[in-house]
Amino acid sequence: MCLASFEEAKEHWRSQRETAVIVMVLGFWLIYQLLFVLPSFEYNEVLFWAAEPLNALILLLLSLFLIYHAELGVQVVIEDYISTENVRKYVLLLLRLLRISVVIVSIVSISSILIGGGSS
Amino acid sequence: MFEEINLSIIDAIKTYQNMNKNKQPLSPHLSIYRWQVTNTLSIFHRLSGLLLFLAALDFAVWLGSIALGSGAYSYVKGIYSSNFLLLIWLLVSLSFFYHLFNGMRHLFWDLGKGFEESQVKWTGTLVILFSIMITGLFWYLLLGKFG
Repeated sequence: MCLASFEEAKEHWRSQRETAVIVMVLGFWLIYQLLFVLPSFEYNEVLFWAAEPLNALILLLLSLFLIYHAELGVQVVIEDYISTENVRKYVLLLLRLLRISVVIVSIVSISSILIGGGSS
Repeated sequence: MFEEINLSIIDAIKTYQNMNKNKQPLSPHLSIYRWQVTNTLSIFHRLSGLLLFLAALDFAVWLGSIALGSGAYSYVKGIYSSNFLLLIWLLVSLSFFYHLFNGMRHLFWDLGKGFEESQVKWTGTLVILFSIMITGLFWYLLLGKFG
């Protein structure tokens, strides 16, 4: 343990709490939307709903903060319970790759829904 | 009595350290603890978090399918609404509300509040009751609307 990793741990701890509060608020928004706003799960309805600029923005933020918060949490679980250093390294790498994929998929999807969504 | 408990904890940690010489220290594994309300809730927090991580991946897949068009969307929708996955969504929603309410409890602890043993117990019980009730209400409303 050195000072650098302590600083990192402090930042990790803070980010975990900050993203928790954000995901909480955005999560309530999604529940509200599912229960009271989204008329059905038919494609056209879902697309129309998701292409609404404010909805698109919140969906994107939710996806990004959600995966970031999840990564921080799963990382701790991995560090706590995977003892073999090599395995741990690769599982952490896999976790990071999954997070990066989600970030890319979310940004590209929401952009394309925003650009093309109104027309179809 | 407390000394005895402390000693046994120290023994457990020492055994653990010997098992993992020259490695980063690890958390004592689950089998070391006696099961009680407090640590069970704590373990559920992690388990629900792991399940919600997988759900976060599914959420991104769902967003992607909306962007790809109606073909991709119906394909994903078909998988997501299969009977097996519906059971998983039930678990995911329960995990979501549990993790959310228990997370609030954690945030209060981080502010230094709610640490008394009695408080830890009643807030824990409240979290369990709330998450089951809200999950029930959620599915009641959801199935009333879409089912």
